[in-house]
Amino acid sequence: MSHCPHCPSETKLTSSRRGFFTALSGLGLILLAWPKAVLAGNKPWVAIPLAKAPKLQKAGGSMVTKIRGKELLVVRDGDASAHAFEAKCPHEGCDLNYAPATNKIECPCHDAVFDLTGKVLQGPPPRPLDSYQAIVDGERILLRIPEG
Amino acid sequence: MTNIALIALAFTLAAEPTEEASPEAASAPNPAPMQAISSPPPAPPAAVPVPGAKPSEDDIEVLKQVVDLQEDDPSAGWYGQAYPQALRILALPTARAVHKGGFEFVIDHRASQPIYNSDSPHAAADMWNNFLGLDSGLTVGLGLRYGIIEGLDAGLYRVNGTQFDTVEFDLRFQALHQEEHGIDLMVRGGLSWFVVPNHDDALWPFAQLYASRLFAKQLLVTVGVMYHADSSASTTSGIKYADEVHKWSAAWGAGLEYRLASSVALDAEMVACTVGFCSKNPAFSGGVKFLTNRHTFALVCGNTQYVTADGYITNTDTPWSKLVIGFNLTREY
Repeated sequence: MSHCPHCPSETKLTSSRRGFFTALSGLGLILLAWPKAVLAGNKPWVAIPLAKAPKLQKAGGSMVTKIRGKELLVVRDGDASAHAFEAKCPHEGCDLNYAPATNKIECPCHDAVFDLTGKVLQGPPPRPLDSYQAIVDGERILLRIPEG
Repeated sequence: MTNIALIALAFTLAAEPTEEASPEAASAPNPAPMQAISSPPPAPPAAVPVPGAKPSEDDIEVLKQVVDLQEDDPSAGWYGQAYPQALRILALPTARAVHKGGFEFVIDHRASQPIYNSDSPHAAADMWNNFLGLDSGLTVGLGLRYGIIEGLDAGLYRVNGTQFDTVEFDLRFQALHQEEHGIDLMVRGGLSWFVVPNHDDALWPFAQLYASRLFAKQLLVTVGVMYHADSSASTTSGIKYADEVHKWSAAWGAGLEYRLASSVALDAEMVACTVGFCSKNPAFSGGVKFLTNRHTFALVCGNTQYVTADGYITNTDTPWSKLVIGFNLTREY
């Protein structure tokens, strides 16, 4: 097969290929930049007003909520102490529960137990829970939700 | 090479931080000239907040709305994730799909002979002799479902028969979820493959639409409409699969499951053929279902032994006095 660099059809082909890769690169850059652009405006901390979260008003309460796309298990284990974790078990993704009687987090599917640092105490989960910094601040609970 | 290695080692030792290498050096005060040539101090600790320290108000976003997922989750309680998914009532599907990456293995049995055969001159004795019909040839269904993505699963189901076997392939897509839309809605489409010995096999499509809703975390209600392009398969021999002799059916169905306790449920379902090839009586089944961890066992009694999409859609000729017994076993992974 002969190669003709000046052939119109070849030029057209090269041009369209270049255009394709240019467009692809641009699209890639947009996709890479888009999540950052969306999240750039987020403040690092989120405040949950206790008036809107009655389960967290007293020590021993907990709730599962969704903040910035993350499902979080928020636990208030003391008047001035709170914790937040990913709400799904790292084993098979079951919903986690806080057991105030034992002050532990439990997974009902395979009897896994975590302490309030997220450490696995019992059961099959392969890793500790992802945890988020939480502070009781008067009538609200502050959670530090990192970007990304 | 040796010289080069020695020089590299000397540079390496010189570059190592003395604070970690020797405690004496760490305790000694840093000489001023070293500070002068050292790099600028690291960024202030504002980027990594001190645990327990309250952040600045400028860094806090106050939530206007706090969603309580446990409160809004209709699948909680005995229909929560600690229990087997309610994917069927007895034979009738619900509008729910297997979770992503999950498997459901199914074994179904239906007796061929009725519990009480009123046509027999020894009907009462036959009940014992046939062990409520279970001694007769059983219709056995084996199935496996897999959750491809959340809301979409695929299934393979095989049932034996006297003239032919039926293999069912299907996809189920859960378009709506009760927790978000107030109702579960599922579209199911598939193919029935009739495997006929000594004849050409046949492949016919079916389509179904189901809606389900859980009330008070205890009563699961499902309703659906269904269509099968060849629902007359069980009534004729294999030769009719060629083309034009097939008959289609359309039906509606409804089912209830009431969870009495965490491990026991009562179930009932009915499918009534309305258009096309229909037998006399609507298909009805009732039963009790036991749930243990990821298993279910359902004891079933009804006027049909059909468990496939082409079967339960066609009604039944079985009179109410000739109910058959059966059971379902499921196991989730």
